[in-house]
This record gives sequence, structure tokens and C-alpha cells, in this order.
Amino acid sequence: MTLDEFVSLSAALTGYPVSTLQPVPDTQQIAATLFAELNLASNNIPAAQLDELTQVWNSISATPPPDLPAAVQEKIIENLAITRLAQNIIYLWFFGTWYDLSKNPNSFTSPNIDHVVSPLAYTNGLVWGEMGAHPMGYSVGQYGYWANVPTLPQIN
Amino acid sequence: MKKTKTITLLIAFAAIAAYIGSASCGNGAGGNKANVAVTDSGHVKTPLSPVLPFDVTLPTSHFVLEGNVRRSFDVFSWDSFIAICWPAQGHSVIGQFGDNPTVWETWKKNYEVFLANGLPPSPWDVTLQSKEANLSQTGKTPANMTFVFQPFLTGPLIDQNGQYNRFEIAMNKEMFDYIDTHKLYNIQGQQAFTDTVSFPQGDNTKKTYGAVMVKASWKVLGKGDDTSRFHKVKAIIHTLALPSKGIRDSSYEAWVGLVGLHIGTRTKISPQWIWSTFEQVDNAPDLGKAVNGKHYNYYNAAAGDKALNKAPAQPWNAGIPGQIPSQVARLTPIDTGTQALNDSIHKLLVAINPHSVWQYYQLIGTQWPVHPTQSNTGDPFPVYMANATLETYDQGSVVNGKIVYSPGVTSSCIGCHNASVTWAGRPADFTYLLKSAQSLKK
Repeated sequence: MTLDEFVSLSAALTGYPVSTLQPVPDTQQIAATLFAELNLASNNIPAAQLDELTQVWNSISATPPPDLPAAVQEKIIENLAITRLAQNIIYLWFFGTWYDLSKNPNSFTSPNIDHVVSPLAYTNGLVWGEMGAHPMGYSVGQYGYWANVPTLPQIN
Repeated sequence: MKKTKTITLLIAFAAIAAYIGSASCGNGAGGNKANVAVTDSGHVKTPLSPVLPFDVTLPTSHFVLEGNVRRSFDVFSWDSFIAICWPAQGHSVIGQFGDNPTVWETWKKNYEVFLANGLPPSPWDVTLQSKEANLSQTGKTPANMTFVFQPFLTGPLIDQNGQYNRFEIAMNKEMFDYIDTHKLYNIQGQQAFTDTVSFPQGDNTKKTYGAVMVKASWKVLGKGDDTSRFHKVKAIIHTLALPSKGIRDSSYEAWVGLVGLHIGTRTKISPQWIWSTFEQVDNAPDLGKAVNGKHYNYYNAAAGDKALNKAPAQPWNAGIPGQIPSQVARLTPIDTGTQALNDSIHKLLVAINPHSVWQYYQLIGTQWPVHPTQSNTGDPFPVYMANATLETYDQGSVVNGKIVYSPGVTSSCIGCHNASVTWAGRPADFTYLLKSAQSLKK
């Protein structure tokens, strides 16, 4: 899988546009940081699984946008051979965290494998914007932001 | 005299455009050698200019962050540095006589704006006249240097002679006028100010200057220091009392050398300000790359790295004898493109005078908001940036030989200054200066 394939697949899986996941210019290189996880030996990703996910994505990536969610659902989410890896990519983007592919990702259960990818990946996790919140101890809000009602993003 | 000055400025303005163009092509220094010459009247011609840029000039081609955009901001930083370090008086050019009193040293200091009694500061012109008079008498009326702590009280920086670094802050007329006009120079004025603090923005179209503030870091020159490599001023070194250690309030006069300079410029393109930071070249080595036998201001190979980039133990007071020097290394190396620009500017400075002290200053980096309307902080780049003399202990940390940066902890100009606030609890437009205001005492 290439970085471009990873980013376009990620856009389909998360619902966020490529311009958000990999802005131009890209100051924080989050996409590249997360992509590196797919090639990290200690993450124990079966090569066949990664290849299949890549092939499936390439086979549906040109689907017209209105039909793409259904195609992703059918070909990736409901494909038991690759759905767990796709799920992990979603976790990467939302939590900046890699979970052991062989375990249930509801909690940290594999301390030697589960890990926060990087401080920037964590603070840039999509989950914070989804909640109208920010990670503990870090915010780019202007002074006094805590007195305002959180605003939630509108995702098209 | 006025006509001569205008012509000089015009020549310089035209020349700097050529210099930027040639520097962008990577052959600035070699190509500019022919431009440097002494005229019949004794004036030195150089592409370097005393004209402060209004705003950054962005490339028209595709935005490539690591290429042309970063280059544009770095050129803005160097243009700003050259302009504000230009000789404050006379018709010489920067470094023509080795060292020179600078323009920014004639600006208002923070303690001249935020008076202890909260009264209005003296007008700008009065200060300038006073400063000009003083510049020729620096031995009698030197700067008073008291501040020794870095931001967030992360500790003092101690040089190889056991001397504390000193810091000072100054602002340009545009920034001063905004504070003065809106009476933000005391706590009551800030509390009465109901508008949003918004300092003037430099604008290339309108040809107007924005607010500029500088923060300077100085070391007391002493044993081991090659004084020909520093911009120097004579200053009063003030040490506050620490009764628990038997230390009394005291002052003495000494030569100090500039070791660090932050320049913050608010502009239309970068409303979160453009943050440029410079250092004297002998401050500290890059991590693990100390040059054998070289004298560093804040590193000693024989001391080992056990206390590397760690603040000294408390209590912190410059008067305590026998303090251990700080052991400092730069964790993030200077970008290679920035370094290439440094090299070309240094050659231009050497062409003016091989003994110019300004050739010993280097741009560490420029941070700017890449997407200024995206959030309050505008997506700063580079994400982290630190001056080894001003954010010594916030550069990041070394864990198992790997450098670890932490959002909200590791130094980021915009990220940190975003939290600045006035005495009225309102955002202070990226400057902590307004918190220096005192209560009005009638």
C-alpha cells in the first residue's frame, strides 16, 4: 500500500476529506506518521491481509462518491479477512493509537503492541473534533474557550 | 540630509529585491560580491537593507512547504533582522565598523511602557531623542538588565563563567502606539478596554507596518569569550536580593554580548504573527555533534551530558556564588534550507566588513501560521521551535537516545503565546507583554 492509497482509503473509512487528512501544505505529517504504522514489524500485520485490503480498495476507489460508502461497506467492512485491519486504520485516525490486531480493541490488552503512535498523532486524533473537545492538557482554543458551548463539526 | 537618506533607501530597496532573487536561486553570496563596494563618498553599497519588510512576500508558485514557502518566511526573518540591527544613527551600513548600536535598541523597552506606578509612558519621540543621546554614552547610561528567568519560570541559563543570562523586551512604534492609544499600559486601562486586542498588521498592499516586538538574550562577556564575535553593549547587571542566602540587592556595570534574539511581527498574512529567532553561533552544539576543542557559550564537553538541557537546582539567584554552568545542546537542528540562507547572508555581511559581528548570528528558524483561518493558532509550522538561550529547557526531551516532542510542552511560539491574556481576562493577541502592566497609583 502506498501513502496515497492509504490516505484515500482513510478518507473513505473516516468520512473526512483527503484535504483534512493530508492538508497542503502538510505541517504535522500525521498521514505519513500513521502510514508508517502499517510497515512497523512489531505491529505484526499479516502481509496477505494488507495486500488484500490494498487490492480491494483499488478495485472500488473509482466508485462514484454517492455509491462509495455502500461499496466500502460491502467490500471492506463486511469482508472478515480485512475488516479488522480497516478498523485499526480508523482507530489510528480517531485515537492516534495502534491496537493489537489479534485482540479485541476495546481496551489496551497487549502492552507490548498497543501504543500511542506519537504525541502529535494523539492530539490530532479526529475524536476530539467529533466531540467538540480537546485532549486532556492540550488545547488550541483561545483563552476562555472553556466558557463557550462546544461546537460540533458538520461532516458532509 | 533627508534627500540623501531617501536615495539611500531607494537604492537599498531595489538591491534587496535582487538579493532575494539571487538568494532564492541558491547563489546569493557569490553573485552579490560584485554589488558590494565602497563609493567615492565612502558609502558602502550592499544588497542588505535598512528597510523593514511590511509582510512576507509569498511565492506565486505552488505551495511547497519545505521549499519556497519556508524560504519566503526565512527571507522575511533575515530582512527583519538586518533592518532592526541596522545602525541607529549615521549613514553607515550594518557592521561597517564591526559592531553598531542598533535600531531596535532605540525602541521602547517593556519597563518604559508598563511603568511601576501605572502612569502613561512618555511619548515615543521623547524616548527616541533620549536614546539617541544615550547611544554615544552607553558607558554612562547603559541598559538595566534584571530579568534572568525564561518563560514559565523554567529556570535561568548559566554560561560557562557561572553568569546568569539576562533578557529584555522592546517594541516598535506601531505596537507602542496601540498600547498607548488604548491605554493598555496599566491594569485599569485593560479592564476598561472592552474591544478585542488586535495589534496593527503589516500590509504589503497598504505599505503599512505592523506591531513588532523583540526579546533579546544577553550574556555577560568574560573569560573564554571572543568579544569580536558578539554585538556588545555596556549594561547595568542587577541582581535581586535573596535574604535566605544572605544576598543583597546589587548592581554592577559590564559588557554584555547578544546571544539570542526573538522577533515577533504581526502581519496581514500572518495574524498569529511571524516568529523569527536568531542566535549567536557559539551558543551550543547540535545534540551529539560538539566540535572538539571549540568554546561554546553554554556547553562544555568535559561536563558530560547528565544535566543536558536541565534547569539548575533552586533557589535561583544570580548572586549565589559557584553556580554550575548550564549544559545545553540544540535538539532540533537548523533546517538545511535555512542554513543555506544563513550562509549566503553571512557572506554578504563579511563582504561589508570581514570583522562584522553580525556574521556570527544565525537564523534558527521562522514559525508562521500555515492555515491562519483554520483555528486560533492557525496550524503553526514548524510545529516546534526553540531558541537555545530563550527556551533552553523546553526544546523537547531525549528518551533512550530519541528526541521526544510533546504538544503543549515543547516550545512552540504560537502555541504558547495563544494562551496570553490581559488583566481583563481577554485574549491578548499573542503577547504576554500586557501582563506586565501595573495598577495605576494616583
